[in-house]
Amino acid sequence: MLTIVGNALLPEHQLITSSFNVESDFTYTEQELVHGLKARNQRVFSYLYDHYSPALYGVVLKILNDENAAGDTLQEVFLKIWRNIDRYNEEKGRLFTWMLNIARNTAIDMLRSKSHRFEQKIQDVGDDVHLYTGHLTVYQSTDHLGLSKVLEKLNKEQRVIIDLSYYKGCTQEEIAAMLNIPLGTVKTRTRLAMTRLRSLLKSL
Amino acid sequence: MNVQRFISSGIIELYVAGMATAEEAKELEAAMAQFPDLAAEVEACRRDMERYIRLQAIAPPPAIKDHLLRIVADEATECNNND
Repeated sequence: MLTIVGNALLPEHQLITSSFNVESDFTYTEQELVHGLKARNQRVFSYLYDHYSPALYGVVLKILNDENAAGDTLQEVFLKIWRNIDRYNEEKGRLFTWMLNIARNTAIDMLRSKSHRFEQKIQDVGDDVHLYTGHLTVYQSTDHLGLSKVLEKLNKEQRVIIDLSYYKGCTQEEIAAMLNIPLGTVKTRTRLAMTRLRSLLKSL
Repeated sequence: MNVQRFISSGIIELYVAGMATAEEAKELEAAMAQFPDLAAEVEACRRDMERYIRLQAIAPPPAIKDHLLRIVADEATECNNND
């Protein structure tokens, strides 16, 4: 039981509690966010969560396809961000990229720790565009229409490759074995799929 | 490998997505340090990737934030008490 709260801490804690789910009317740059996180500012962490959690949750949920596991993973991701912010190096890339890598790696580790479920996912992969947007339609964001358009323009081969390599974290060797195609073909298809995806994004 | 060959090879996309091999990543990073144009191209690709990811954004269940902020606040309290 917490009975004593440090004087200096109390106002900060109240501020955080009262700002739950309230959209902030100011913005931080990535640099200010990093500075605030390194200074252990809990309000900055709250802001970070509000602004980045939907994007990271989208990825984590896409990888795990299970809302409970995705929720647990998202929480772990943000604790890793909070605890490891000193390891973030601005010279090596944007904050978003760093957080996205943490989210993807944590979710893929989680996925792989449940190997029986992993097998099951492989069979579902790439059947149609709706697999990719099924979760998304529920939320009715106009952004997702843009995503469907992008995915419709990738062929099934390209969707399968992106799903296995990006969302399931399979190595190229694993993909070659799964799809029973030569490793060289996997390499070529992966590059084509990723460059095609990117050119589609540019045209949005 | 020159800058144009990197750009057309698809390695940048793989690298940004976290799918490049360690060897490919090392080679690209060395080239980025040498050629600002290439570094700018990698940065542009990161922004495209960010846009792709944001297209798939989904609001997480609200209870997660509550729980996270409590953990973080409790950790701060512990640190202060230890001082």
